[in-house]
Amino acid sequence: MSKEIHASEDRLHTRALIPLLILTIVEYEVFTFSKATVAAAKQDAWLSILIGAIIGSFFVYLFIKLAARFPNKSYFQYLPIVWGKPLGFLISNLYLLFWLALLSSIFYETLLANKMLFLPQTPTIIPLILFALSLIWLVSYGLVPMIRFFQLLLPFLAIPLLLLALLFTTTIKIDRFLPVLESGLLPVIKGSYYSLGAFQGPEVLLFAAPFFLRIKDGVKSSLLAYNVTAFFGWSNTVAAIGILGVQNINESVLPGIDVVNLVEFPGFPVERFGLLLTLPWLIGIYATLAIYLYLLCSSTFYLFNLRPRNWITFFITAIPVTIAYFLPNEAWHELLRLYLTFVTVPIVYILPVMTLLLAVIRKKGRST
Amino acid sequence: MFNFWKRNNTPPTINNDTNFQKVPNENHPEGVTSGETEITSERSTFRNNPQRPPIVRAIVGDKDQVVRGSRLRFTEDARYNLELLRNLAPTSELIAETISLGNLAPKEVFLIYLGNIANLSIVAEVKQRIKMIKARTLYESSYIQRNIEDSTFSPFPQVEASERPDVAVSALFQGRIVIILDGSPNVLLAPCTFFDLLDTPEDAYSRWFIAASFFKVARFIMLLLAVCLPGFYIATLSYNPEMVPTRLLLLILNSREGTPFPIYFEVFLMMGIAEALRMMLIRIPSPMGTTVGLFSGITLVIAGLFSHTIGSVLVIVVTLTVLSSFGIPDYDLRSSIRIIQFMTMIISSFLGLFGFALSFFIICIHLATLKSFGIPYMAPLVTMEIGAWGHTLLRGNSKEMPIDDTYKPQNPQ
Repeated sequence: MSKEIHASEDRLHTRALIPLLILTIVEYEVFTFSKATVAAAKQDAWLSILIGAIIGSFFVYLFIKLAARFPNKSYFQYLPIVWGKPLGFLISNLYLLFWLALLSSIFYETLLANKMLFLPQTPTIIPLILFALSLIWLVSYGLVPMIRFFQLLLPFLAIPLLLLALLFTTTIKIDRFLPVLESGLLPVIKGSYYSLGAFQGPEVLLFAAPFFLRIKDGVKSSLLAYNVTAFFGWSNTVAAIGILGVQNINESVLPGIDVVNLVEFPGFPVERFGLLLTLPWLIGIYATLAIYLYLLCSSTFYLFNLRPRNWITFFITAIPVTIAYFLPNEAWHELLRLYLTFVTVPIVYILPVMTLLLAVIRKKGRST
Repeated sequence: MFNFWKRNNTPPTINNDTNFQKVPNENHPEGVTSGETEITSERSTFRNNPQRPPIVRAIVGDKDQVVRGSRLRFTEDARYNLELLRNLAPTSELIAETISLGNLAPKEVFLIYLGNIANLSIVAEVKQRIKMIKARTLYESSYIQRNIEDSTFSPFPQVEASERPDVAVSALFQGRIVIILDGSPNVLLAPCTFFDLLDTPEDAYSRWFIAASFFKVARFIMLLLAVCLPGFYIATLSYNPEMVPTRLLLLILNSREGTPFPIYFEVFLMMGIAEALRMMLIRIPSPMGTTVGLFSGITLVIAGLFSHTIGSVLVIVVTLTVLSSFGIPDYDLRSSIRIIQFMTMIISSFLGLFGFALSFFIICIHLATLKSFGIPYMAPLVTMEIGAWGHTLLRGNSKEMPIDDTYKPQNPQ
């Protein structure tokens, strides 16, 4: 964490926004593609994701504009300038709570995956602690090495997902998407809201902006990254509707994984491709945990004027780990996830846009 | 990455600082001539007469086979090596500096770089680190290598060692520094990135860029197999066999029918035998070694299969892993990969696929944070210098020789 002080000396090209955003956004939700979207828009969920991607892209564009107004400053550094000190502090704390809840949720998903899939006989706390320790080690290096780490992982995440998108094309049944707009446009719009809510992560670029050489040139990279993740989500949703059907999706616990296991590839002696998802899924989880843990730790140090110390990082990491460990059951987690999806749009998208508007009105920052 | 300088037959231009004079060296074991290095404070200058020095005799080692390219090798005479470099890179920008190391029996260490290409702050850093070495004398350049690296705990070499003068000249034109120790045929090239260690001169010498790129990509895949395959085999079959497609799983289970040991023990046993054979082959004289190695290997595998001690799929896994590890051109990296391989196997034995992923993340974190003299170890991949990927991850087809900017960081730390 101490290395962050010198971070401005080691700045990144805006191209590095691609791995940063893709790995931050892609996590559990991409593989479950927000069941809420399918529940709301039914067979038109693919349209919801497309509309959500367009709206999301516009938001990402505005984020870059906001970051470019305050080059060399992180989001929390200019929140008090734009909103005033008390409001800025309150909003910052709201983000801390949001990240804490998100981290707890993702740690719980890791715990659940270990309990159900990877290590059913091992006490769940052991893999959780090992994961957390390796994350603390990564977080201690600061943001720039973390983005470099993401860049290394990107091919291992993107190649299997692209391969799956290709595999899906052989099995999809078009008639499952008909009739289009059966219940009108409103469910599709509602689905778009849920789809946007599933894409936590674009706000990270507001915090990472000071580490980039010319953040105002980052529009193309960030839009590309955002739309690549939207494509992954879209292809998974299309495959799930086209292969499983809406009815089965609503009944399935993990439709994203079920659909992969149903995919057929003529002539290939493998009848289940579920293993293909394991590494990308773990990479997605790990990268998301890493970036949010970094944001939580560095922001806590900044907001409460603390000197970066290892024991504080350990303590901060221990909070979401403890919450995840003591979360009573899956139902609680589902509820937590639902609340998170619901508050994502105002916190991740609306607040930064309002900050930009206020900055323009109050003539704060550099006009671009 | 292999940025080879095109040889110019015109005599070298001599600037004011660099005077070349060839003087006969009667003590040279090959009886060839070598340049004399005058030490002026720390900086040496070559003295040269305008005549080209005679071409030195080719010495081919069997460390790695040469398909195409120079067969010259460095020798244990530092001055001879210096002359060799001067022959291959006849430019007035070639600078050699000497440092005397060792308080009881001092040895000469030469730092060679191109004044107009090398990053001078890196040169200063290399010099500084060499001066910090405390030793009575130096036997081999590896002593310098391990003492000037950024992280001595890291399994990944951050300074490259080579016996090939063409590789050293290429490094000079990349902006790297060549370190020669008197008495060692292995010269050191600093800084170095992970991709330098996976490069072979043949990549640059191949006629067709697609073939060269194909072999480069194949090498990356072999590296991944060497690191991951045994650990992945243990993790999947010991903990999550349900993830393996049914037909493949039945095939594996059928091959393991009657084997008494658990999967992880079987893998450790076979990998241990493979390592023992490899170590044995190094010690046995080469004409006999191949036969003995081949015979022992075949005997052990056949005996293991017939006695149902090992499964046949495991033999494929272990053979593929060992073969893949030999696809890594650099000896130090190859040795490290073997150790990492065992670490991955241990973690996977305890924590299954989760442990396999965890060890993968730990290796990636280490690689992403490692630096060699301030240069990110995974450059240009992690630094997103997409322009350099064409001649680093692949072999580009540019008509102009690519200029490598890896060692000229825009944001040096």
